Amino acid sequence: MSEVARINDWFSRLNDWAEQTSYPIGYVSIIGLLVVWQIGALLVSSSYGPPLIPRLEVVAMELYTMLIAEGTAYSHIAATLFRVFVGFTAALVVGIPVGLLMGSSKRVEFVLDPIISTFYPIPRIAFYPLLLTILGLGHAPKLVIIFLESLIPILLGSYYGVQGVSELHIWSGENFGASKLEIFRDIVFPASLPYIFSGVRMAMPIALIVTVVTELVSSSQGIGYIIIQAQGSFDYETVFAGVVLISLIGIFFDQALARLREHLLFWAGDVSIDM
Amino acid sequence: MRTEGILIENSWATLQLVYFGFTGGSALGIIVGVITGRIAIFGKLFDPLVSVTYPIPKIALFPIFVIWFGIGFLSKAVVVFLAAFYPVYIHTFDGVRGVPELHIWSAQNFDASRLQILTEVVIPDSLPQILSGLRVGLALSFIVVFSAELIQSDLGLGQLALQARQFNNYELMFSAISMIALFGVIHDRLLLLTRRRLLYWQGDEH
Repeated sequence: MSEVARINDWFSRLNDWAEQTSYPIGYVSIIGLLVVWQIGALLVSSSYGPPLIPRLEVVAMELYTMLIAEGTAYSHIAATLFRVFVGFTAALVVGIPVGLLMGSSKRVEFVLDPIISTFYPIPRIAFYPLLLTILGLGHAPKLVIIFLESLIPILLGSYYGVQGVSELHIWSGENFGASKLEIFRDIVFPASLPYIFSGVRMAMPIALIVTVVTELVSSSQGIGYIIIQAQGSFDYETVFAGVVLISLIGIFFDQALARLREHLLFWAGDVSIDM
Repeated sequence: MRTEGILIENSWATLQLVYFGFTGGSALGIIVGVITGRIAIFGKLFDPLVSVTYPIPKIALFPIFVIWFGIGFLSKAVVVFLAAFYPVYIHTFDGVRGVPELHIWSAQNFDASRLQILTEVVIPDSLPQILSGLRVGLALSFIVVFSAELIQSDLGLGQLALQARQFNNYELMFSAISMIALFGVIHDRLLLLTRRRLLYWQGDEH
Protein backbone atom coordinates (compact mmCIF):
# COMPACT_ATOMS: atom_id res chain seq x y z
CA MET A 1 0.00 0.00 0.00
CA SER A 2 2.66 2.47 0.99
CA GLU A 3 4.59 1.48 -2.09
CA VAL A 4 1.61 2.32 -4.32
CA ALA A 5 1.08 5.59 -2.46
CA ARG A 6 4.73 6.48 -2.91
CA ILE A 7 4.59 5.83 -6.63
CA ASN A 8 1.38 7.82 -6.91
CA ASP A 9 2.95 10.69 -5.05
CA TRP A 10 6.06 10.58 -7.17
CA PHE A 11 4.02 10.48 -10.34
CA SER A 12 1.85 13.44 -9.40
CA ARG A 13 4.94 15.44 -8.53
CA LEU A 14 6.43 14.53 -11.89
CA ASN A 15 3.18 15.57 -13.50
CA ASP A 16 3.22 18.95 -11.79
CA TRP A 17 6.80 19.44 -12.86
CA ALA A 18 5.90 18.60 -16.46
CA GLU A 19 3.07 21.11 -16.40
CA GLN A 20 5.30 23.93 -15.28
CA THR A 21 8.57 23.19 -16.98
CA SER A 22 9.70 25.12 -20.00
CA TYR A 23 12.21 22.47 -21.07
CA PRO A 24 11.34 21.19 -24.53
CA ILE A 25 10.64 17.66 -23.29
CA GLY A 26 8.50 17.07 -26.39
CA TYR A 27 11.67 16.43 -28.35
CA VAL A 28 12.15 13.28 -26.27
CA SER A 29 9.34 11.52 -28.13
CA ILE A 30 10.62 12.67 -31.53
CA ILE A 31 14.11 11.41 -30.75
CA GLY A 32 12.47 8.27 -29.36
CA LEU A 33 10.87 7.63 -32.74
CA LEU A 34 14.25 7.85 -34.47
CA VAL A 35 15.80 5.56 -31.85
CA VAL A 36 13.02 3.00 -32.40
CA TRP A 37 13.66 3.19 -36.13
CA GLN A 38 17.39 2.57 -35.66
CA ILE A 39 16.86 -0.28 -33.21
CA GLY A 40 14.33 -1.81 -35.59
CA ALA A 41 16.84 -1.53 -38.41
CA LEU A 42 19.51 -3.26 -36.35
CA LEU A 43 17.20 -6.05 -35.14
CA VAL A 44 15.23 -6.85 -38.28
CA SER A 45 17.39 -8.39 -40.92
CA SER A 46 15.99 -10.22 -43.87
CA SER A 47 17.60 -13.50 -44.74
CA TYR A 48 17.92 -12.51 -48.39
CA GLY A 49 17.56 -9.37 -50.45
CA PRO A 50 17.87 -5.78 -49.23
CA PRO A 51 17.22 -4.91 -45.58
CA LEU A 52 13.53 -4.32 -44.81
CA ILE A 53 14.31 -1.36 -42.57
CA PRO A 54 17.33 0.59 -43.78
CA ARG A 55 19.49 2.11 -41.07
CA LEU A 56 19.21 5.83 -40.33
CA GLU A 57 22.66 6.73 -41.58
CA VAL A 58 22.11 4.85 -44.84
CA VAL A 59 18.93 6.82 -45.51
CA ALA A 60 20.71 10.04 -44.56
CA MET A 61 23.50 9.21 -47.03
CA GLU A 62 20.91 8.52 -49.71
CA LEU A 63 19.28 11.89 -49.03
CA TYR A 64 22.70 13.54 -49.19
CA THR A 65 23.35 11.94 -52.57
CA MET A 66 19.93 12.94 -53.89
CA LEU A 67 20.08 16.52 -52.67
CA ILE A 68 23.71 17.58 -52.62
CA ALA A 69 26.17 15.15 -54.14
CA GLU A 70 24.25 14.42 -57.34
CA GLY A 71 21.20 16.65 -57.03
CA THR A 72 18.97 14.19 -58.85
CA ALA A 73 15.97 14.93 -56.68
CA TYR A 74 15.43 18.58 -57.58
CA SER A 75 13.53 18.04 -60.81
CA HIS A 76 11.19 15.64 -58.97
CA ILE A 77 10.71 18.03 -56.06
CA ALA A 78 9.97 20.80 -58.53
CA ALA A 79 7.40 18.64 -60.31
CA THR A 80 5.63 17.81 -57.05
CA LEU A 81 5.67 21.41 -55.82
CA PHE A 82 4.44 22.67 -59.18
CA ARG A 83 1.41 20.38 -59.01
CA VAL A 84 0.61 21.30 -55.43
CA PHE A 85 0.92 25.01 -56.14
CA VAL A 86 -1.17 25.05 -59.31
CA GLY A 87 -3.96 22.86 -57.95
CA PHE A 88 -3.99 24.61 -54.61
CA THR A 89 -3.88 28.14 -56.04
CA ALA A 90 -6.76 27.30 -58.36
CA ALA A 91 -8.72 26.04 -55.34
CA LEU A 92 -7.97 29.28 -53.48
CA VAL A 93 -8.94 31.46 -56.41
CA VAL A 94 -12.24 29.65 -56.94
CA GLY A 95 -13.04 28.55 -53.39
CA ILE A 96 -12.71 31.79 -51.46
CA PRO A 97 -14.88 34.02 -53.72
CA VAL A 98 -17.54 31.34 -54.19
CA GLY A 99 -17.64 30.62 -50.46
CA LEU A 100 -17.92 34.31 -49.63
CA LEU A 101 -20.64 34.70 -52.22
CA MET A 102 -22.50 31.70 -50.79
CA GLY A 103 -22.41 33.26 -47.36
CA SER A 104 -23.53 36.68 -48.54
CA SER A 105 -26.23 35.85 -51.04
CA LYS A 106 -29.25 33.71 -50.21
CA ARG A 107 -29.80 32.90 -53.87
CA VAL A 108 -26.31 31.54 -54.45
CA GLU A 109 -26.53 29.61 -51.21
CA PHE A 110 -29.84 28.05 -52.26
CA VAL A 111 -28.33 26.78 -55.51
CA LEU A 112 -24.90 25.67 -54.33
CA ASP A 113 -25.44 24.37 -50.82
CA PRO A 114 -27.14 21.08 -51.84
CA ILE A 115 -24.42 20.41 -54.40
CA ILE A 116 -21.60 21.02 -51.93
CA SER A 117 -23.14 19.00 -49.13
CA THR A 118 -23.69 16.07 -51.50
CA PHE A 119 -20.15 16.18 -52.79
CA TYR A 120 -18.59 16.68 -49.37
CA PRO A 121 -18.76 13.06 -48.13
CA ILE A 122 -17.82 11.53 -51.50
CA PRO A 123 -14.12 10.64 -51.67
CA ARG A 124 -13.33 12.80 -54.70
CA ILE A 125 -10.21 10.77 -55.43
CA ALA A 126 -12.63 8.12 -56.70
CA PHE A 127 -13.00 10.17 -59.86
CA TYR A 128 -9.32 9.89 -60.62
CA PRO A 129 -9.55 6.85 -62.93
CA LEU A 130 -12.31 8.67 -64.78
CA LEU A 131 -10.17 11.80 -65.14
CA LEU A 132 -7.28 9.66 -66.36
CA THR A 133 -9.53 8.37 -69.10
CA ILE A 134 -10.80 11.80 -70.11
CA LEU A 135 -7.66 13.90 -69.73
CA GLY A 136 -4.87 11.45 -70.45
CA LEU A 137 -1.75 10.80 -68.42
CA GLY A 138 -0.11 14.24 -68.26
CA HIS A 139 -0.41 17.03 -65.73
CA ALA A 140 -4.07 17.78 -66.38
CA PRO A 141 -5.86 14.97 -64.45
CA LYS A 142 -3.53 15.43 -61.47
CA LEU A 143 -4.12 19.16 -61.30
CA VAL A 144 -7.88 18.70 -61.59
CA ILE A 145 -8.09 16.16 -58.79
CA ILE A 146 -5.83 18.25 -56.50
CA PHE A 147 -8.08 21.23 -57.24
CA LEU A 148 -11.26 19.25 -56.52
CA GLU A 149 -9.99 17.79 -53.25
CA SER A 150 -8.69 21.03 -51.78
CA LEU A 151 -11.59 23.15 -53.06
CA ILE A 152 -14.26 22.02 -50.61
CA PRO A 153 -12.51 22.75 -47.28
CA ILE A 154 -11.52 26.22 -48.52
CA LEU A 155 -15.00 26.90 -49.86
CA LEU A 156 -16.72 25.73 -46.68
CA GLY A 157 -14.30 27.73 -44.53
CA SER A 158 -15.16 30.97 -46.35
CA TYR A 159 -18.86 30.12 -46.30
CA TYR A 160 -18.94 29.46 -42.55
CA GLY A 161 -16.79 32.53 -41.98
CA VAL A 162 -19.34 34.84 -43.54
CA GLN A 163 -22.16 33.13 -41.69
CA GLY A 164 -20.34 33.62 -38.41
CA VAL A 165 -20.01 37.41 -38.77
CA SER A 166 -21.91 39.03 -35.93
CA GLU A 167 -25.03 40.92 -37.06
CA LEU A 168 -24.18 43.63 -34.57
CA HIS A 169 -21.03 44.57 -36.45
CA ILE A 170 -22.90 44.83 -39.72
CA TRP A 171 -25.62 46.97 -38.14
CA SER A 172 -23.09 49.37 -36.67
CA GLY A 173 -21.44 49.63 -40.06
CA GLU A 174 -24.80 50.43 -41.64
CA ASN A 175 -25.45 53.01 -38.96
CA PHE A 176 -22.28 54.81 -39.92
CA GLY A 177 -23.55 54.94 -43.47
CA ALA A 178 -21.19 52.37 -44.92
CA SER A 179 -22.04 51.18 -48.40
CA LYS A 180 -22.50 47.49 -49.14
CA LEU A 181 -19.02 47.29 -50.62
CA GLU A 182 -17.49 48.98 -47.59
CA ILE A 183 -19.32 46.66 -45.22
CA PHE A 184 -18.01 43.69 -47.14
CA ARG A 185 -14.47 45.01 -47.41
CA ASP A 186 -14.05 46.35 -43.88
CA ILE A 187 -16.30 44.09 -41.80
CA VAL A 188 -17.38 40.83 -43.40
CA PHE A 189 -14.11 39.92 -45.08
CA PRO A 190 -11.77 40.57 -42.12
CA ALA A 191 -14.17 38.84 -39.75
CA SER A 192 -14.28 35.72 -41.87
CA LEU A 193 -10.51 35.59 -42.45
CA PRO A 194 -9.80 33.26 -39.50
CA TYR A 195 -12.32 30.75 -40.86
CA ILE A 196 -10.94 31.03 -44.37
CA PHE A 197 -7.52 30.36 -42.94
CA SER A 198 -8.74 27.29 -41.06
CA GLY A 199 -10.14 25.97 -44.32
CA VAL A 200 -6.84 26.62 -46.07
CA ARG A 201 -4.94 24.91 -43.32
CA MET A 202 -7.21 21.90 -43.59
CA ALA A 203 -6.85 21.77 -47.36
CA MET A 204 -3.06 21.97 -47.51
CA PRO A 205 -2.27 18.43 -46.25
CA ILE A 206 -5.10 17.07 -48.40
CA ALA A 207 -3.56 18.70 -51.47
CA LEU A 208 -0.22 17.10 -50.63
CA ILE A 209 -1.79 13.67 -50.03
CA VAL A 210 -3.60 13.76 -53.35
CA THR A 211 -0.48 14.91 -55.18
CA VAL A 212 1.49 11.99 -53.80
CA VAL A 213 -1.31 9.56 -54.62
CA THR A 214 -1.51 10.69 -58.22
CA GLU A 215 2.25 10.39 -58.55
CA LEU A 216 2.24 6.94 -57.00
CA VAL A 217 -0.51 5.74 -59.35
CA SER A 218 0.81 6.99 -62.65
CA SER A 219 3.57 9.45 -63.28
CA SER A 220 7.02 9.88 -64.72
CA GLN A 221 8.13 12.63 -62.36
CA GLY A 222 7.68 13.73 -58.79
CA ILE A 223 8.57 12.44 -55.35
CA GLY A 224 5.79 9.86 -55.47
CA TYR A 225 7.38 8.54 -58.64
CA ILE A 226 10.80 8.26 -56.93
CA ILE A 227 9.20 6.22 -54.16
CA ILE A 228 7.22 3.81 -56.30
CA GLN A 229 10.05 3.40 -58.81
CA ALA A 230 12.55 2.58 -56.07
CA GLN A 231 10.08 0.18 -54.46
CA GLY A 232 9.75 -1.68 -57.75
CA SER A 233 13.51 -2.08 -58.05
CA PHE A 234 14.00 -3.18 -54.41
CA ASP A 235 15.95 -0.01 -53.64
CA TYR A 236 14.49 0.42 -50.17
CA GLU A 237 16.89 3.15 -49.01
CA THR A 238 15.55 5.39 -51.74
CA VAL A 239 11.97 4.54 -50.78
CA PHE A 240 12.68 5.70 -47.23
CA ALA A 241 14.58 8.75 -48.44
CA GLY A 242 11.64 9.73 -50.66
CA VAL A 243 9.21 9.31 -47.77
CA VAL A 244 11.43 11.48 -45.55
CA LEU A 245 11.59 14.08 -48.31
CA ILE A 246 7.83 14.31 -48.73
CA SER A 247 7.41 14.36 -44.95
CA LEU A 248 9.78 17.31 -44.69
CA ILE A 249 7.83 19.15 -47.36
CA GLY A 250 4.57 18.49 -45.49
CA ILE A 251 6.04 19.71 -42.20
CA PHE A 252 7.50 22.76 -43.91
CA PHE A 253 4.15 23.76 -45.43
CA ASP A 254 2.37 23.25 -42.14
CA GLN A 255 4.89 25.37 -40.25
CA ALA A 256 4.83 28.05 -42.94
CA LEU A 257 1.05 28.31 -42.70
CA ALA A 258 1.22 28.44 -38.90
CA ARG A 259 3.78 31.27 -39.04
CA LEU A 260 1.72 33.11 -41.62
CA ARG A 261 -1.30 32.84 -39.38
CA GLU A 262 0.61 34.22 -36.40
CA HIS A 263 1.73 37.10 -38.56
CA LEU A 264 -1.57 37.95 -40.21
CA LEU A 265 -4.17 36.86 -37.72
CA PHE A 266 -2.52 37.53 -34.38
CA TRP A 267 -5.72 39.33 -33.34
CA ALA A 268 -7.99 36.32 -33.81
CA GLY A 269 -8.38 33.32 -31.54
CA ASP A 270 -8.09 29.83 -32.92
CA VAL A 271 -11.25 28.83 -34.73
CA SER A 272 -12.00 25.33 -35.78
CA ILE A 273 -14.58 24.74 -38.46
CA ASP A 274 -16.89 21.91 -37.72
CA MET A 275 -17.46 19.99 -40.91
CA MET B 1 -13.78 -9.46 -65.96
CA ARG B 2 -17.47 -10.05 -66.20
CA THR B 3 -17.70 -12.72 -63.60
CA GLU B 4 -20.81 -12.56 -61.51
CA GLY B 5 -20.46 -10.94 -58.14
CA ILE B 6 -17.17 -9.20 -58.87
CA LEU B 7 -18.54 -5.92 -57.55
CA ILE B 8 -19.72 -7.46 -54.30
CA GLU B 9 -16.44 -9.21 -53.69
CA ASN B 10 -14.41 -6.05 -54.23
CA SER B 11 -16.81 -3.82 -52.32
CA TRP B 12 -16.61 -6.14 -49.37
CA ALA B 13 -12.81 -6.02 -49.44
CA THR B 14 -12.92 -2.21 -49.45
CA LEU B 15 -15.51 -1.95 -46.69
CA GLN B 16 -13.64 -4.42 -44.51
CA LEU B 17 -10.57 -2.23 -44.74
CA VAL B 18 -12.50 0.91 -43.85
CA TYR B 19 -14.22 -0.76 -40.90
CA PHE B 20 -11.07 -2.34 -39.57
CA GLY B 21 -8.75 0.62 -40.05
CA PHE B 22 -11.23 3.28 -39.01
CA THR B 23 -12.46 1.46 -35.91
CA GLY B 24 -8.94 0.66 -34.75
CA GLY B 25 -7.47 4.05 -35.57
CA SER B 26 -10.27 6.06 -34.03
CA ALA B 27 -10.42 3.87 -30.90
CA LEU B 28 -6.71 4.38 -30.35
CA GLY B 29 -7.09 8.07 -31.16
CA ILE B 30 -9.79 8.53 -28.54
CA ILE B 31 -7.93 6.55 -25.86
CA VAL B 32 -4.58 8.25 -26.43
CA GLY B 33 -6.26 11.63 -26.78
CA VAL B 34 -8.03 11.27 -23.43
CA ILE B 35 -4.85 10.11 -21.70
CA THR B 36 -2.62 12.84 -23.11
CA GLY B 37 -5.31 15.45 -22.59
CA ARG B 38 -5.84 14.55 -18.95
CA ILE B 39 -2.32 13.77 -17.78
CA ALA B 40 0.02 16.70 -18.34
CA ILE B 41 3.25 14.79 -18.67
CA PHE B 42 1.99 12.55 -21.47
CA GLY B 43 0.57 15.58 -23.22
CA LYS B 44 3.91 17.37 -23.07
CA LEU B 45 5.74 14.28 -24.24
CA PHE B 46 3.57 13.15 -27.11
CA ASP B 47 1.85 16.21 -28.49
CA PRO B 48 4.98 17.53 -30.26
CA LEU B 49 5.51 14.13 -31.87
CA VAL B 50 1.95 14.12 -33.16
CA SER B 51 2.06 17.68 -34.45
CA VAL B 52 5.30 16.95 -36.27
CA THR B 53 4.06 13.74 -37.86
CA TYR B 54 0.54 15.04 -38.55
CA PRO B 55 1.33 16.92 -41.80
CA ILE B 56 3.16 13.90 -43.25
CA PRO B 57 1.00 12.47 -46.02
CA LYS B 58 0.33 9.03 -44.56
CA ILE B 59 -0.30 7.51 -47.96
CA ALA B 60 3.39 8.11 -48.77
CA LEU B 61 4.16 5.44 -46.18
CA PHE B 62 2.08 2.92 -48.08
CA PRO B 63 4.94 1.71 -50.34
CA ILE B 64 6.94 0.97 -47.18
CA PHE B 65 4.09 -1.05 -45.72
CA VAL B 66 3.81 -2.93 -48.98
CA ILE B 67 7.49 -3.83 -48.63
CA TRP B 68 6.89 -5.08 -45.10
CA PHE B 69 3.49 -6.73 -45.32
CA GLY B 70 2.88 -7.47 -48.99
CA ILE B 71 0.01 -6.22 -51.14
CA GLY B 72 -2.71 -7.95 -49.14
CA PHE B 73 -5.01 -6.76 -46.41
CA LEU B 74 -2.49 -5.75 -43.76
CA SER B 75 -0.51 -3.08 -45.59
CA LYS B 76 -3.66 -1.15 -46.48
CA ALA B 77 -5.20 -1.65 -43.04
CA VAL B 78 -2.15 -0.07 -41.40
CA VAL B 79 -2.31 3.03 -43.63
CA VAL B 80 -6.05 3.47 -43.00
CA PHE B 81 -5.41 2.98 -39.30
CA LEU B 82 -2.82 5.78 -39.28
CA ALA B 83 -4.95 8.06 -41.43
CA ALA B 84 -7.95 7.68 -39.10
CA PHE B 85 -5.88 8.02 -35.94
CA TYR B 86 -4.59 11.56 -36.43
CA PRO B 87 -7.77 13.63 -36.86
CA VAL B 88 -9.57 11.70 -34.12
CA TYR B 89 -6.63 12.10 -31.75
CA ILE B 90 -6.26 15.83 -32.40
CA HIS B 91 -9.95 16.58 -31.95
CA THR B 92 -10.16 14.43 -28.80
CA PHE B 93 -7.07 16.08 -27.34
CA ASP B 94 -8.50 19.56 -28.00
CA GLY B 95 -11.87 18.52 -26.62
CA VAL B 96 -10.45 17.05 -23.42
CA ARG B 97 -8.20 20.07 -22.96
CA GLY B 98 -11.23 22.31 -23.39
CA VAL B 99 -13.27 20.75 -20.57
CA PRO B 100 -13.86 23.57 -18.04
CA GLU B 101 -11.93 23.03 -14.82
CA LEU B 102 -15.06 24.15 -12.97
CA HIS B 103 -16.95 21.03 -14.05
CA ILE B 104 -14.12 18.81 -12.83
CA TRP B 105 -13.84 20.64 -9.53
CA SER B 106 -17.56 20.33 -8.86
CA ALA B 107 -17.42 16.61 -9.58
CA GLN B 108 -14.46 16.31 -7.22
CA ASN B 109 -16.45 18.17 -4.61
CA PHE B 110 -19.17 15.56 -4.89
CA ASP B 111 -16.54 12.90 -4.16
CA ALA B 112 -16.47 11.49 -7.68
CA SER B 113 -13.72 8.98 -8.27
CA ARG B 114 -11.22 9.46 -11.10
CA LEU B 115 -13.10 6.99 -13.25
CA GLN B 116 -16.41 8.71 -12.61
CA ILE B 117 -14.95 12.08 -13.52
CA LEU B 118 -13.70 10.54 -16.73
CA THR B 119 -16.92 8.82 -17.77
CA GLU B 120 -19.41 11.39 -16.52
CA VAL B 121 -17.67 14.73 -16.96
CA VAL B 122 -14.73 14.61 -19.33
CA ILE B 123 -16.06 12.32 -22.03
CA PRO B 124 -19.56 13.84 -22.32
CA ASP B 125 -18.05 17.31 -22.34
CA SER B 126 -15.66 16.53 -25.16
CA LEU B 127 -18.09 14.35 -27.12
CA PRO B 128 -18.97 17.00 -29.75
CA GLN B 129 -15.28 17.42 -30.55
CA ILE B 130 -14.66 13.69 -30.63
CA LEU B 131 -17.54 13.19 -33.04
CA SER B 132 -16.33 15.84 -35.46
CA GLY B 133 -12.92 14.19 -35.32
CA LEU B 134 -14.58 10.89 -36.19
CA ARG B 135 -16.29 12.51 -39.18
CA VAL B 136 -13.03 13.87 -40.57
CA GLY B 137 -11.35 10.51 -39.88
CA LEU B 138 -14.06 8.58 -41.71
CA ALA B 139 -13.82 10.79 -44.78
CA LEU B 140 -10.04 10.41 -44.77
CA SER B 141 -10.31 6.64 -44.36
CA PHE B 142 -12.35 6.36 -47.53
CA ILE B 143 -9.90 8.57 -49.44
CA VAL B 144 -6.93 6.56 -48.23
CA VAL B 145 -8.49 3.15 -48.86
CA PHE B 146 -9.37 4.06 -52.40
CA SER B 147 -5.94 5.62 -53.01
CA ALA B 148 -4.10 2.62 -51.62
CA GLU B 149 -6.16 0.33 -53.84
CA LEU B 150 -5.33 2.49 -56.83
CA ILE B 151 -1.62 2.25 -56.07
CA GLN B 152 -1.04 -1.42 -55.33
CA SER B 153 -3.65 -3.94 -54.40
CA ASP B 154 -4.94 -7.40 -55.10
CA LEU B 155 -8.60 -6.65 -54.39
CA GLY B 156 -10.90 -3.71 -53.84
CA LEU B 157 -12.95 -1.12 -55.68
CA GLY B 158 -10.00 1.14 -56.51
CA GLN B 159 -8.10 -1.71 -58.10
CA LEU B 160 -11.28 -2.75 -59.92
CA ALA B 161 -11.80 0.76 -61.32
CA LEU B 162 -8.24 1.00 -62.55
CA GLN B 163 -8.30 -2.46 -64.07
CA ALA B 164 -11.62 -1.79 -65.77
CA ARG B 165 -10.12 1.36 -67.26
CA GLN B 166 -7.25 -0.60 -68.71
CA PHE B 167 -9.68 -3.04 -70.33
CA ASN B 168 -11.80 -0.13 -71.66
CA ASN B 169 -14.69 -1.55 -69.65
CA TYR B 170 -16.21 1.80 -68.75
CA GLU B 171 -19.48 0.39 -67.39
CA LEU B 172 -17.53 -1.50 -64.76
CA MET B 173 -15.31 1.49 -63.99
CA PHE B 174 -18.33 3.73 -63.48
CA SER B 175 -20.02 1.19 -61.26
CA ALA B 176 -16.92 0.87 -59.07
CA ILE B 177 -16.69 4.66 -58.77
CA SER B 178 -20.41 4.94 -57.98
CA MET B 179 -20.08 2.26 -55.32
CA ILE B 180 -17.31 4.10 -53.51
CA ALA B 181 -19.22 7.40 -53.76
CA LEU B 182 -22.34 5.71 -52.42
CA PHE B 183 -20.46 4.12 -49.52
CA GLY B 184 -18.90 7.47 -48.65
CA VAL B 185 -22.29 9.20 -48.53
CA ILE B 186 -24.04 6.40 -46.62
CA HIS B 187 -21.40 6.15 -43.91
CA ASP B 188 -21.19 9.91 -43.49
CA ARG B 189 -24.98 10.11 -43.08
CA LEU B 190 -24.91 7.25 -40.56
CA LEU B 191 -22.31 9.09 -38.52
CA LEU B 192 -24.35 12.30 -38.65
CA LEU B 193 -27.41 10.36 -37.50
CA THR B 194 -25.44 8.91 -34.60
CA ARG B 195 -24.19 12.35 -33.72
CA ARG B 196 -27.72 13.72 -33.63
CA ARG B 197 -28.75 10.85 -31.36
CA LEU B 198 -25.81 11.26 -29.00
CA LEU B 199 -25.86 15.03 -28.85
CA TYR B 200 -29.61 15.57 -28.53
CA TRP B 201 -28.87 17.61 -25.39
CA GLN B 202 -26.80 20.07 -27.33
CA GLY B 203 -29.82 21.54 -29.06
CA ASP B 204 -30.19 22.43 -32.72
CA GLU B 205 -27.53 24.86 -33.71
CA HIS B 206 -27.66 24.25 -37.40
